[in-house]
Amino acid sequence: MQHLPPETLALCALGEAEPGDTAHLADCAECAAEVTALRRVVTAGRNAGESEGLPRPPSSVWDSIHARLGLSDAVRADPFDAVDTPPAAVDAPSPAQRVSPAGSSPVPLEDARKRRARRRLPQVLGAAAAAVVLAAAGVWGISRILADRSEVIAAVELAPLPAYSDTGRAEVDQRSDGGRELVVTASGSGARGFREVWLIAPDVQRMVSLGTMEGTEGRFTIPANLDLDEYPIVDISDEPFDGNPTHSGDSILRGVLDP
Amino acid sequence: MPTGAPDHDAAMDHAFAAGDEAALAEAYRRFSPLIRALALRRLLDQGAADDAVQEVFIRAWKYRGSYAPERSTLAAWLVGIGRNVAAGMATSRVRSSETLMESPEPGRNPGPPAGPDPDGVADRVVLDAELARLGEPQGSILRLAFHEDLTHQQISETLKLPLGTVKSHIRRSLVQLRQRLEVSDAASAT
Repeated sequence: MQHLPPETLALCALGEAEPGDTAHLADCAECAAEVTALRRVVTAGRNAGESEGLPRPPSSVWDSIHARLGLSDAVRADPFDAVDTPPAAVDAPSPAQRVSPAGSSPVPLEDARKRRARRRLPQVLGAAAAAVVLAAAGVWGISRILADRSEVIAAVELAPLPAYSDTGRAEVDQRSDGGRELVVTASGSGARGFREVWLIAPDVQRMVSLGTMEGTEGRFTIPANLDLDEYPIVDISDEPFDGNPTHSGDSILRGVLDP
Repeated sequence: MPTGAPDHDAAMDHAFAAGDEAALAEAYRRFSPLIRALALRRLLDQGAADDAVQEVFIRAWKYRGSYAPERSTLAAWLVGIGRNVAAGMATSRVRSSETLMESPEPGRNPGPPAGPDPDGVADRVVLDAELARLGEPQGSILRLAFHEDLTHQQISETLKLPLGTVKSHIRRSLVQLRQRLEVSDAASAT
């Protein structure tokens, strides 16, 4: 049976299944299991539950940890109480967080503690909100984000060679530091040995091995001076454990990057 | 960038791995309530849950050399150790019970404290930490999908990214995050 493409499975996990996908999932245990596994991420991502309400351990717990590990005096106080002596290097609050300047009127300990505990999650949720605001603000924010992050500069669907039914995709990411990565996704492994990822020249004689692949996704650094126009073919091969480092000649998936 | 959170978290994770005691204290403040809640649900005993918290942080610190910040967040790693420690303590307590009647194993739950499901909270905390590390545009794409419930077409329009790029980022990010959540099931510092 032809399985759903990996990207469709991900969309199904997000609740974007087309009727045809739903029908397939009803029949195919393998694809359904993959969607279920991905849905754990989606559930956690959409879960509004927060950890704020959970009680802290009593101070005796930290005292024991401190004693048994022989920690220094600098961290002797229960971290929940050490509000005024944040470990500077690690805990430097961002300007937005620095609500009250040090030395402002004293706050009851309970309140300070609550405020402190509450600060954590909103920090992350704040990032989400900020992302939305940026999106709404439009091109300015996003083009800034894109300017210093990795970007897909080439992509190709990988087609199975005869005798295989795997599906896959390869993308070339340009990282902000100038490096390039080949990101390969491929459905379950039909390999008898192990899978190896190659970039191959059109003459199918010259080739560069990028490494072995496990699971459904692999990231491989593309050597800096390698010309992708010269080696445009992405190939995943089935390699036997025979100690021979050359290509087995048994390819599972293949695609040609856009020139 | 609008927030220092990802850098802040990454700094804590790396400082912990490097043996900075302040990072241990910070990790304790942030994650000990969660680890305690996970242990309490398993052990059904406040004192035992406190012992578990102690054991988790002692173990984590002793074995911090085996923690690799580039492979998982500290949140995921600590939660993984927490689950292992609680499971180990539950097993040895069953073995040492004099009679089966005393068995503290859950099953017939005598009523742990009401509140959020600790496993759900753990997944959420681990995921938040990992989301902050995803980089862009992956982080924005997933936040729009999770928090704003946008479809991939809407995300593509909102972020002005090609549809194929959005789909492929969604796929890759979900797979990566799933692996990270699985670290929190299985991490071991022994």
